[in-house]
Amino acid sequence: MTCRAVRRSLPLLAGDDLGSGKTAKVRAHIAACDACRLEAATYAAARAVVRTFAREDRPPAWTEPEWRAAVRAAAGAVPAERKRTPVPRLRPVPAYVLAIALAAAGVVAVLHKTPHRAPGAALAGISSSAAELAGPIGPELRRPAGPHLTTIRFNLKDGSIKVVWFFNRDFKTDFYGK
Amino acid sequence: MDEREKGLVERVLSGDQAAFAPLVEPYRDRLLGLAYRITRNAEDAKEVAQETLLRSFKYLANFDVEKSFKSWLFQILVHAARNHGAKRGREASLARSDSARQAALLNASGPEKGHEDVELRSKLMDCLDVLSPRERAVFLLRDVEDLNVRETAAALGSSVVSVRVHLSAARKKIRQRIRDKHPEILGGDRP
Repeated sequence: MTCRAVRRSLPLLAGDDLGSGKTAKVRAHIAACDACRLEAATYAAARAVVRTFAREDRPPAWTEPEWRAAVRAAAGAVPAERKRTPVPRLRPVPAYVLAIALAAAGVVAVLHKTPHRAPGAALAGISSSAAELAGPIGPELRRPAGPHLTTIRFNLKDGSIKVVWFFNRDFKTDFYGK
Repeated sequence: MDEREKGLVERVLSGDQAAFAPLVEPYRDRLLGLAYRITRNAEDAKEVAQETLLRSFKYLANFDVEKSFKSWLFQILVHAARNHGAKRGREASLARSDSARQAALLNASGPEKGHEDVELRSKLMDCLDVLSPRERAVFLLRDVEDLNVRETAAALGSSVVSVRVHLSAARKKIRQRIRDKHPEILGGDRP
């Protein structure tokens, strides 16, 4: 250990408050280093002095009647009930959260249960650009058990964008998957 | 916690109020002494010690008999002193003048005590004055009341690491204070 590291530990060493491993290292260093040993001695002396002051100092004491009155007053207090560990309770869910969750579940259920429509029929309800988008998908779509179609239209300043999702029966977008 | 204390705690909890006096009697002077060194005022110290007794009786049912009763009592005292200090704005009194402090010390000692007592207490308070409230509490519990670091941490409701940090800072400050104000004590051996 370096002298610098040892000196940081000296205040705690004075009261034997370092961990056992560190104490051994610091003691080994100060056994070989006069400057650090002297420094350690000053901490020990300062601590001993204050402890002596405290031991010899007689702070104000209770008179017998004061003490009796204090104990009597304390023992006359109403004991508090034993602290119990609180049982964790679920907080009530706000109604609007419940409503949103139910609505979301409903949408998913409807999407999942919607009977299959032929791609042509589905595409008939959307704009021609979306039909073009959906057009080149190939024969996979024309199967009776083909994908479901979901669209969202975004109205912008200069026109609109329609996003089309194709889902297979398993509600997955990888409609090319076998 | 020894068997005697355990038995007394059980008696108090079963409704025997008379068992409370022998339970706290061994700590009678230490409670007031620690309260005085924290608050530095005899009247406040008595109020804090009284509050400690009151709370210890009131909350005795929450005390874990496997732990140290002394640490638990000191923990209550430190909290009571902190609350009392906050209530009275006692922190401001730390800056009071030397003469005012001398008068307070004389007052606390009583007329029958000698000048030596006052001087001794003045030196002790002088050393404690340089510490922050937290450092003072840590130092008093560890170095004056002889609680170990774990017990001190439990009494203050803080971690062992925090206690070590404050203890180290407190001892550094006290050594420096003794060097500056009472160099003869350390033999004037400045590095």
